[in-house]
Amino acid sequence: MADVMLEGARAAAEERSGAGAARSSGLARTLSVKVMSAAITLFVVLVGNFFLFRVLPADPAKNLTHNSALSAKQLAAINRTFGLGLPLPQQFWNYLVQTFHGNLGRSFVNQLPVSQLIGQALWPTVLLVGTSTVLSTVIGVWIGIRGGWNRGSTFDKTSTAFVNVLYAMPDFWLGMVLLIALAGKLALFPDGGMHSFTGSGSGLASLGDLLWHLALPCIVLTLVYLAEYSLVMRSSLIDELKADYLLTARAKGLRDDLVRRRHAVPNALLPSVTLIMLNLGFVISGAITTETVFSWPGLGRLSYVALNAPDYPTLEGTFLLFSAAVIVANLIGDLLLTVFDPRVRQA
Amino acid sequence: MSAQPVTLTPRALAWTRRRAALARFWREFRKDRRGMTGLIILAVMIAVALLAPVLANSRGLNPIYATAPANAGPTLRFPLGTDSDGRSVLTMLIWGARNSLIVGLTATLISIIIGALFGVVAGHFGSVRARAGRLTDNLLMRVADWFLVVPFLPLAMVLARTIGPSLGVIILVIGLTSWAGTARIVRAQALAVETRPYLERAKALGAGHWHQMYRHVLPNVMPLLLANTILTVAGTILAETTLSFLGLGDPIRPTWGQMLGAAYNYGVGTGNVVWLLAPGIAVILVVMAFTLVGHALEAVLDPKLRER
Amino acid sequence: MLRSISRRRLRLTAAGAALCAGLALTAPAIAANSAVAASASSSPGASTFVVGDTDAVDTLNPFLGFTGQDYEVYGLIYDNLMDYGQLNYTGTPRLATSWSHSKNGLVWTYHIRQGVKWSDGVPLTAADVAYTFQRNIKPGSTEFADNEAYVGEITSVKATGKYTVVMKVRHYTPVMNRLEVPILPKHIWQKVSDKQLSSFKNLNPVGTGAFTVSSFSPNQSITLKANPNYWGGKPGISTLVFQRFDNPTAMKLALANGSIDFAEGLTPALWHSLAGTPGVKLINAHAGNFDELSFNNGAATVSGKPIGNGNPALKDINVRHAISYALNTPELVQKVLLNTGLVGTTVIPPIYPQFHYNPPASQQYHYDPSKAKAILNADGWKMGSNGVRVKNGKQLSLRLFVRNQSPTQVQDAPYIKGWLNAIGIKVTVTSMSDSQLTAVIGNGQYDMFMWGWGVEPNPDFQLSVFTCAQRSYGKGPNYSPGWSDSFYCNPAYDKLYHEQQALDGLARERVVKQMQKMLYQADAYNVLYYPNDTQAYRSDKWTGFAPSPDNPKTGLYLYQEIAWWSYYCLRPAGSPASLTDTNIGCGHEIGAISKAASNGVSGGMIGGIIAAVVVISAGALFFARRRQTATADERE
Repeated sequence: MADVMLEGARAAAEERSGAGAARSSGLARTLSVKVMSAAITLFVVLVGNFFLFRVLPADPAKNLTHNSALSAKQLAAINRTFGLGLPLPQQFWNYLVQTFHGNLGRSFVNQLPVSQLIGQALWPTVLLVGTSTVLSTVIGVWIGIRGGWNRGSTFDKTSTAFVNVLYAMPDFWLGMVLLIALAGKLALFPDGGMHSFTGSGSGLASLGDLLWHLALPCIVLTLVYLAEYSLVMRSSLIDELKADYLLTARAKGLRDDLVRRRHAVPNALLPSVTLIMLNLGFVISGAITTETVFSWPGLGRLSYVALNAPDYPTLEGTFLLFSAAVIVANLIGDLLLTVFDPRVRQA
Repeated sequence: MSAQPVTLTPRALAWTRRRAALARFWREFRKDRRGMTGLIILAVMIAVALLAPVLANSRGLNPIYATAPANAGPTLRFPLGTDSDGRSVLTMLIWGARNSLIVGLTATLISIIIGALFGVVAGHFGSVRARAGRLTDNLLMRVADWFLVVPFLPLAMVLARTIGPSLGVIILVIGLTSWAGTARIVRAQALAVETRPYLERAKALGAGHWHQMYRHVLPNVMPLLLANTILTVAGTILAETTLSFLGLGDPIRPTWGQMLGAAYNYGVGTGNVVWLLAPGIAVILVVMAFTLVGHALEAVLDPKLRER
Repeated sequence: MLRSISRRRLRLTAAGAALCAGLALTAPAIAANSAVAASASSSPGASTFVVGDTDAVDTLNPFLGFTGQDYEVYGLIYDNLMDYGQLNYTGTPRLATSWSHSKNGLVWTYHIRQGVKWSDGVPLTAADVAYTFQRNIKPGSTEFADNEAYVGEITSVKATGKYTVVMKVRHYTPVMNRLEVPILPKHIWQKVSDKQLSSFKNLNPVGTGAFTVSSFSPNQSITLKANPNYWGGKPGISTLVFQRFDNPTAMKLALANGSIDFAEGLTPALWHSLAGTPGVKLINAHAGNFDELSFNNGAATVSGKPIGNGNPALKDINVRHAISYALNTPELVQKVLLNTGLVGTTVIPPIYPQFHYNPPASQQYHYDPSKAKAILNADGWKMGSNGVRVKNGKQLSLRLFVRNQSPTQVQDAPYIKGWLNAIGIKVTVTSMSDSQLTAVIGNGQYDMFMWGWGVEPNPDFQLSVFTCAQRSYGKGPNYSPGWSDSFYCNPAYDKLYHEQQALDGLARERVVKQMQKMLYQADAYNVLYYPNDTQAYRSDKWTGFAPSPDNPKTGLYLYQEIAWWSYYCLRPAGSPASLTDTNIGCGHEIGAISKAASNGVSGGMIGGIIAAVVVISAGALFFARRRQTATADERE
């Protein structure tokens, strides 16, 4: 389904970029149109989130007080804190204003500000997702290029088979298997967490400790997502290879690898990069289960824990963050396409 | 080309054409080795799912009748070992195939129907010259955008948790959250179809919107939709696996995801590692099979689509 | 409503029970309230003890904290006035060395331990105690809501001397002997206004406890270091770490390979799988918990108005009996708990032998499916063609709700469903979160569910749950729940409840047992089993634990109820016992805190303090250590 979603998103992006190019009379205008479009999408997300979480049955009073008896006064106080009991349009306006000020409300579970909870969990997820995205992109693209260029070779056959298996693998399963195999008895890697339980020292030792803990969850996310990128890159390159200008380049006598490096790959790279950006939404989803398996204290784990309460303000906050990340990634992908796609740049 | 000219009704003619096309299609598809591998795996899995009551006694799913030692590794009697209640992992795997596939296919059906509906309507009205049409298109696609942008898993988790976890809810939730990609692709294809001459002729002849969409746009979108569907199933099975693993499924009826969740909670590190490995490998095989078939389908159908 | 989310959490929320009635005798608190103790030998190097749990500390502000792990840590960095003793559940002095009350029980005088210093060096005085309580009794404040269970009756608090505090109460309440309220430093907290309270993070807490916070990652881990000047004795370890695991298997693997030293909250299967691991010792500790299958006995509000959509078949006692006879609970204990627990009968667990009622074997609901079928047949429930019983055109179909946060209860569900199917009852199982289930119960929209309770040494609260007054109240569609989750209501039972509140000794025990008998015969709940608390630790590295109650086989090693002895009694294996055995509470003393003579005396040894506390429960209220609770009395 990631496949389908991706294609759909790609269709959307291409169409948007196509339309943009057609209408624009300049790069700046195209860019601003796209940014506006992203802003509108973000607003749609805000509105959607608001209604989603208001529509869902939630009674923070019951949650907070764990359903013990409340006096009318206490109930009123809680409703005031959470802004409930006000007419819906008023609540919506408050929600918009507060969100723009970075106030994401308070957790139903422990009344801590959601922005604080998210703030604490943000860096671990950025570290994990960022590192694995870079690695999976680089490795995946390389495999795709190599395979696509030497189509039908042994490398291509084995790598495609390998990649198809990875693509079909549930990420938490891979995580559990690696955890049991490599951590546990062998203790090659830690059993969880971001730092050693007994303290990680300082400076270089601390960095080393962090990397040691990052290793397994990062490997899992990298393996699972490089499959997608390599498949996309490969098919993109194969498509590109049919192009006429490459025939010309070869006829001119250019060496194979130069043809590849200077012409085919950069042009094939573009849609891949776009897709990689679009895939961010799924990587974040993947992080949820992986963080849980490795007790990695990030946003994924925060959402999972909030789910059980259910702690709607926290969920709402993480939702917003995830969606915003996807929108920004889409925008960047879109912009890359606009700026670098030779077909779009009109003169 | 027979010696005597035979008069066929238009309908019979259409069917003959379709049969010929199908035969051609099958010949092309057979050439794709990977697609065939996928198809064989799928056939085996579906057979296992259908034959579940024959292959494994459903009594084996009921823990009150399980007397074997728990968390035991593979033995002759229990080729995949036992789970924490002493049930045979193989029995659960076979019945799990049935439930996982049912969930995957049903959820896909919902997703495809919604996606196709959105896509065809948006594509059709989007190509209309009137402003209202483009507005409809825009509105529908903005909704689709929301679903595309909000990451699937958190949304599915919240809906499932709130409505109340069960297999039916998982089906509904996956169907409701995964149609956006299909909608986009279908819309793009519908827009292309809309530019074809015979559609203009149909409009000139007075065909209404519904007729145009149903009789002309939809059939031409179908091939693409088919390939899309197969690929979607792969995704929904993975999605169901994740949601069940997170405990949002049915605690009674086994699916592969539920088996993995149970293995995770009751300590797969306690004895029977096969309990963790088997459902995972099964999921990999099925998802891979669907993906291979889906890609092969796309490859076969592709030249046909390029008739613009 | 307090519900057991996990056994461990329950133990921690065991605050406030009524432990008393008696007086604390006080022999003169001896002057040796001078500070502490170093024991003779010095520990060689730094020793770090790592505890793994599935829970985490989310805030260091004791008024905002909510998780079980929060309370575990607050008890280590702050002291209360008094505590549960290590040997059994007798109360022991902590920051209050002795106390007494006036004849009418309305004026209480507490003597504060002398020579105690805050972790920033400032000496503790009665002013701190007075300030803490004054802050806590401000009506409508977060502090009041948090600690209402203890401070609800207090009207005024005054420091009448450097080491004396006088409190006045509205009515006599034995809870004044068990004030589980962390004492906070006035010089820090007077700078935090009420408005700032909910955003005050308290990142460098100043307390008098045995440990101080050295680093804190919210919801991940917390590192504490020993307070070498602790008045009770220097802890035997230098660093204490609490590490959260989201993945229970990972925690087990970590204990097995030695990266952590103690594992708490393992499922029975994971715990069991550690058997035979070299260097790991398993503890199968009795705890006052039970898990039950609860029935909707006829949900109604306190005014008698029926609410909800419970299947009326469950109002029929024959149906409940049939269900009870159909359940093979010994098999649950054997297969799900892996024998870490006992088959259940009545609602006061056998760990309290003086109160626990054990029904005679002939009256117990032993596993007897044919008897169950006979009961249903005689009751008019005929077996239908699809295997489900029918009566008057209605199928006997029941919903069973389970909490997804309890792996054992989720594992129980298919068994219960299977057994009930076998006698012709259709069961649909749904899992939900704790708060969802609580709302559902409050509105009476259930047939059966599974949950558990942690029962206090004083049975009063547990018994009150079944009184008519504890049913839901208010106006629909969302009723306010009381503590009742069975909606059992019997005036005769209520009468006995009030009777035992005024009784003591054997007379009380008799009435309490009679009440349990009533509940058992009415089958209001089916108490499935009494689960033990399964813990495991690296015995090759650590020793010196002070299990509570004091039985190395069955006592809890850590996560004890408001008693933190083990944490500062434990020491590295192979280190001399004198490292901690002279610490207060580490010599297996009964309630009394006396410093045994030991060889090697460093300056400042504590003399003995003798306080014998009589434990007799006499009615009181059980309060959850949650943000908020209210009892029937306090509800308007």
